[in-house]
Amino acid sequence: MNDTIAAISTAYGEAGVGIVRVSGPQASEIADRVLKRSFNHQSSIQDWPTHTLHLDEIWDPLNKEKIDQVLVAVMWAPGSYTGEDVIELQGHGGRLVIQEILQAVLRAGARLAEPGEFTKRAFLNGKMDLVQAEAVIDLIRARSEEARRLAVRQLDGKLSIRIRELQEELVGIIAAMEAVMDFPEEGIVTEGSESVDILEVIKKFEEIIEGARGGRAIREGIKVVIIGKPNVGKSSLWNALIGEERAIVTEIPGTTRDMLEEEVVVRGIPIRLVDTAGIRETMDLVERIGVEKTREMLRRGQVVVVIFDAGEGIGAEDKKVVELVSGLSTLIMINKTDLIPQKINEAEVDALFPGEVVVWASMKEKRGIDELKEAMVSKVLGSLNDGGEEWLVSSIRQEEALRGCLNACWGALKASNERLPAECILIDLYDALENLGNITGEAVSEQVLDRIFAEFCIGK
Amino acid sequence: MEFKAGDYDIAIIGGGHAGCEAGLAAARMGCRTVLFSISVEGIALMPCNPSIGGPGKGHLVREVDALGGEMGINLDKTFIQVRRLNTGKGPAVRALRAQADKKEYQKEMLLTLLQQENLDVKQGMVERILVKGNRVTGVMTRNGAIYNCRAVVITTGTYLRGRVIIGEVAYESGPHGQFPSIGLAASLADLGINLERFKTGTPARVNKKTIDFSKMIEQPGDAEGWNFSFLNEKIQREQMPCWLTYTNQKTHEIIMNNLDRAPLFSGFIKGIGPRYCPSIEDKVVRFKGKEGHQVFLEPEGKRTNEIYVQGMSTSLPEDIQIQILRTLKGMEQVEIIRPAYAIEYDYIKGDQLKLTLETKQINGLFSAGQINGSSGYEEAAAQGLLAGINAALLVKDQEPLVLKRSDGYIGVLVDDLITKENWEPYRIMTARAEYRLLLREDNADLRMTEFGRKVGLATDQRWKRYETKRDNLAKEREWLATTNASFRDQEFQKWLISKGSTELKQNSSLMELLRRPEIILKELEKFMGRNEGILDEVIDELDIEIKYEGYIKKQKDQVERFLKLEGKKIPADLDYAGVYGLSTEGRQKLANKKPETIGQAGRIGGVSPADLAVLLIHLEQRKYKNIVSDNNTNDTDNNIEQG
Repeated sequence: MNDTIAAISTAYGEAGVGIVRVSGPQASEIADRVLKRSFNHQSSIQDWPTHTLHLDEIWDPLNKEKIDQVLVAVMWAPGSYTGEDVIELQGHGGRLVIQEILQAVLRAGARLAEPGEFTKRAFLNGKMDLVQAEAVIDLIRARSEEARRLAVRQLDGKLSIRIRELQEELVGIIAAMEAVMDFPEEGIVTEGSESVDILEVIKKFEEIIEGARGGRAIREGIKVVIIGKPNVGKSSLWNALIGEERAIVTEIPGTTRDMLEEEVVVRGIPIRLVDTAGIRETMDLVERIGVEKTREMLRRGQVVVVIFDAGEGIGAEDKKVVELVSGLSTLIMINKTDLIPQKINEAEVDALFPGEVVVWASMKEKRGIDELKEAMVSKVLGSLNDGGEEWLVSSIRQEEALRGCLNACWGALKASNERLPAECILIDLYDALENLGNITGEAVSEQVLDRIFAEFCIGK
Repeated sequence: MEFKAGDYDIAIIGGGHAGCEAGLAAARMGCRTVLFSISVEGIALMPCNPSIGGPGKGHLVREVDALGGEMGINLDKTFIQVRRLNTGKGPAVRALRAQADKKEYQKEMLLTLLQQENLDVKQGMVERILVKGNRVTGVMTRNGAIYNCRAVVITTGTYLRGRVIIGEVAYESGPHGQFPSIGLAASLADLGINLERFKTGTPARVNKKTIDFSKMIEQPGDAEGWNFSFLNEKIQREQMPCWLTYTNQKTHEIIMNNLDRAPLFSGFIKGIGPRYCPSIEDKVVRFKGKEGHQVFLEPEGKRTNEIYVQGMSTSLPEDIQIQILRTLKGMEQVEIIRPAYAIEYDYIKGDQLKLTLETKQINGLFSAGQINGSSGYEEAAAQGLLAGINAALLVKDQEPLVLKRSDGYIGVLVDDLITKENWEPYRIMTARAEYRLLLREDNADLRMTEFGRKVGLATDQRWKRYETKRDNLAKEREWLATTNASFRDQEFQKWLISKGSTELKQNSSLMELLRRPEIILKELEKFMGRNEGILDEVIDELDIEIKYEGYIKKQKDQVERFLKLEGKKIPADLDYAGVYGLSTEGRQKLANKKPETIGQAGRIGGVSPADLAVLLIHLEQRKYKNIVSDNNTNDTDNNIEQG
């Protein structure tokens, strides 16, 4: 346990403060590398007394850019939670910022903690009572189960296929290099140099990591704007979505005055609901700042949910809404379908929004809400370039592994270009393969041997 | 008809490459040892290939030698060809490979055994292991002779319930026309040892006078001459060439037309054969697109006409065998001396063994070689040596010797046999050694001699050579680190240019300079006029260590991490059913394999990192419980992290 681990220690979806916890013998060195004071050549934080709090800034150790202002809490061994040197970096930005802080700490030499690892260390360092052992085990189990489920879910689909393809390619490159070394007299002919193949793999990794960035943006929350004429049910929908009576729901048109933002998590993806003021105000807005500017504001949402009133039919006001959202990514909800007679029919909607998803709902009877949630997620994921959800690498662990893999491949390519022997190149390639194995959860070492024997005719 | 025949410390069952090493090691460590062979003529028999060494295998031979084994010494006495393979590749995979004179190899080894103090060689077939409780007390031969002993090493190779298959014909037999060992299998089963079946095979031997070598490609040995044993200098000797020819469409046609007579395909053979040593019918079926497969013709010795047809291992019937062989260029008139055959035999699944090669079931019962599921002479010798050493240490009541994956190929081999699921006879490969840049042929002595010395196998002569090399290395390193090349030295600059290098812009230590790939230490020494009598091997070795320092350091870091987990021992009596929180699969696998360390547990397929964490916590809990815990004051906070 001589390495130093780090992880985000505040729960998912919590309020504005996020904490990155670092634990291990190099905690202070690592923190030194990311804190502004080190860029100013100040002394190490090692000199700070234990259990003290300090204001500082986190800077990216690589590109030397400021990430966030943080409170640094230091707790030196053995009086800390884990019994090791512990440093907590409390950022007050959103989740994205916290993740960047974590990335910076990882780049500075920490390793991403395994599920439940802080607690495990606390236990192994005698910081916890023996009777707590089972609780610790439960925690580790639950955490890894959760991580595994998450990984499985995320690996379901195109990304998983891409990663497995890459794994296959890497295994193939390695097997060819190994076969030549272990069976030098078998007349194995490999085509050209491995560096071409490695470069090919690198390109594909970069594509995936690029995709992962999109995924991270999604993790930060997708913005959904709800629009519709006054009293069409925007606030009721809002409440139904977040499941709480937060916005004021009234029958009086125009009571939802403030721009509100609230978050709801659907299928693991945070959806940030942005409530525009009622359409009457929106129309005022149009008059004030013009159609284009209004549309620009609407465009900030990745999805615009347009609500119509089944009891009233599509009227002149609604037509203006339709104009306003034309060309944007829209979802249609017909509310108040509990009212009879219904004054909206499918053909009518389809004429206005050809091919769009239409959810027939009743906020009063709580119908159509789940359907709408699903539709929102699908809409956003579908709108991502080339594939959507499958491209989503939303766990930082996976992203870290992919990055590790990419770095190792670059190392291998460099070694190959310098004409270093295959054993050296392979050290990096195995490193890459191991990182991939961490994503797919598959043991890869045996795959290499399997491939050697499957592809090369070897035998005395 | 039982009778008391003698008292020994250790009995070795089998006189193959494992048995010879086990017997010699035990005797040399001062234990009274008896070695049984079904036939004295079968001792040190090479029933398959005449070659020893190659990548991974050559590494094993060098390690066996450095540890105090005999294979390298015996091979140096008897090789008729030697080559260094992979010379154009990196330092980790360069490997010696020799063709032995098979008969000479046997004769020399037998003589060594017969002359060895403390060692008795007996012709006899052991049929029973005698035990008291779960402790070995002796062995009994088919003739009823009872030998008391405290440890037994079983090295039955492919003899145990051996069954030879040639086409539609099958009969009980050991390899190479030897008798099989039958009764012992039942005795092992009685002791609760599970046996399974593996299959292997060997090609035909043909008569040299019926081959037209002029139609083939000659494969000579290296003129330079090499030595396997660290006790020897490079050996110059007249060598014999091998010959290369190829199969062709005609060969493949005959094979394809007769697949229904191939026991491998008809289901007649049930044992699992190795993928790296496929029969020719297997190769033709699996690699249909290939126009020709390589066939090497290798002489079996100086005073024989027998030629080994490498690459043509088969269990097709004899009439097809001759047809196939005669399709090969230069072999149109060939005559078979011994037909190819497949052989099935009993082996012990590795999870029944400790890392010392002692069985988990019976104290004092060791096994080594093919009976442990390996293949190859070198793999057998390595295990035999380790088992012999540990049997002797057990008798002497000393700490056992466990070699780790980071110590050498022997460690990799043993750990793989025990920890991994092996579905075929196991062959060592450099690809299996994760720290291979550290485990080179050239430094096998630096890695192994101290182990050998500690157990009492390294002779004074060997130890002295080791010390000289070690001291030379330190001295040369010191010189390189402390000697500077001056950029004002025009002669030096000129020399650099002549080596295709670039001029110095400032003074540089020689160590620094040697990182340049084009600067070779041997040449630098010569240019600098250094004449300290540093050993050539030391110079080569340092060159490697300096040139690949970055990667070597990387591997050393990996080893450090590995050793940490390897150092965490799991008690043998751990009841996995009582470990709270293990996954079902992990629990099952751990209970089956009973790993000795956390590191080993992690290498078992199906055991997850979470299982390891759970195990660590359980062990910690257990440790404290054993101590009597009295401190329950802890300052735990409720702050539980997100992982």
